[in-house]
Amino acid sequence: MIFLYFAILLILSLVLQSTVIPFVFPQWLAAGIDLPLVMAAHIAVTWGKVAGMLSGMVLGYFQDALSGGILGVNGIGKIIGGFTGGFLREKFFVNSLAHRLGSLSGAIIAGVLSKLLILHLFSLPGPALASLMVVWAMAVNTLFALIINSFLERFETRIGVRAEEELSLGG
Amino acid sequence: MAGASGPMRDFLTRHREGLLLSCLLAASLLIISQQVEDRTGMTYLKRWAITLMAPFQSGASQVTGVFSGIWHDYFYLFDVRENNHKLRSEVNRLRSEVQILKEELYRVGNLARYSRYQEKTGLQGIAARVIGESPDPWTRLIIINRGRDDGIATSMPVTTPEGLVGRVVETSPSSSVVRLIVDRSSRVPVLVSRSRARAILEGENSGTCQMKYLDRTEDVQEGDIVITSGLAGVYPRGIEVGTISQVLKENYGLYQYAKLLPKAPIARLEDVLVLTGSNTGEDAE
Repeated sequence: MIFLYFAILLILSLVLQSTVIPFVFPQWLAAGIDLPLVMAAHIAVTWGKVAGMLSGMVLGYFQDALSGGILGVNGIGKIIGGFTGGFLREKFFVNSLAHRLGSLSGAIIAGVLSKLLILHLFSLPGPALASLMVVWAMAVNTLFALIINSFLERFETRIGVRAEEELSLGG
Repeated sequence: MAGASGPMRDFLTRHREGLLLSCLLAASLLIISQQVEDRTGMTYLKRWAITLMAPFQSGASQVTGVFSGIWHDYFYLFDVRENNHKLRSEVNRLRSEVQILKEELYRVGNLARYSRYQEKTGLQGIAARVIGESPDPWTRLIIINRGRDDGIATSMPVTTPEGLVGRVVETSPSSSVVRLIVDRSSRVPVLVSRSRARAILEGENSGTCQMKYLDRTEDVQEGDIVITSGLAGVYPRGIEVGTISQVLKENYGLYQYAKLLPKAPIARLEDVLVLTGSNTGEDAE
């Protein structure tokens, strides 16, 4: 059940990123939104590091494959984002808005920065690390992550997938 | 992890998430680096692999180079030793050949000299090699490698282009014995080339001869050339015998005496010419 739910979430985020986001939001806003990263952050904050990393990896690689870019750039960003979200959740998550915001924003910031680092490491085109666009992307995605996380938390509680919290590697 | 030992299993369990993260990141980095090319057109993966492996390859190359060098040197030295042995044998063989060829050349040179001598004097002869000397210190004989089968007969004169050597005193089918002119029992009728004074040459068993029966009135001087007189029919006339080294003239008696130094290298004879006849009679002049 949980894996089916994950599959739906992942597919939905990828589809929405490429179809709905560019049409619904203005370009200045749509350019900053990274729905797969938001989804990886949500999964990590909700189900832990392993779930965050694996879902981030799947999302990132699919995103790279569908966008025709270098395979792995988004993958790394979202793996690190997922791991950071899960890590912060374990350390600080006490189900308060402030801590949830901290974990989600941590995941988003880590995801965006790691993607930028990879771009710079391989001399690929991308925004400067300290550019306004980066800060904007972090802020917008953190906001989106907070909204989606709040919405999905209620939805997941209603459908009962939250009972299978803390997905791990047999630990 | 079922096969992992205790501490290893604990480590993997404790750090499973970190390990998973590392694996995922490493795999992603590899995937990216395999696709992206640097300014030189080489993929990052290839460049990293080369950069990472270069020191090891260099070290391994040096180590294998050393061992390879030792290994090759061993076989090389092994070959060198074998080749050295072969080359030494070859050098020895070639030295022997060279020596033999030198000897042959010397003999050919001698034969040519004899041939010219025969042409010049009109004498006919058979070249022979000295193969031995008399073991008796009281006689001066040599043995030559020509005998009856070669047409050698007793009393045949033996000479060299430099001068008279002696005469054949014994023959066998394949060798002959020659009495040298320095032998004590040798007698050779001679004459002084300048004054035509006649005498009998006797050996002294040393390296010299003595001229006897030399009339004391004859003009004989040191340095005069002495040749065979052709008397008695054994030696053809005109063969050079030697040079007078000393004249002994007493105040009394009928004769004077002279010491003669043979022209032929009596002490180191190698090849001789046995005279079998003459194109122009018996004389060598």
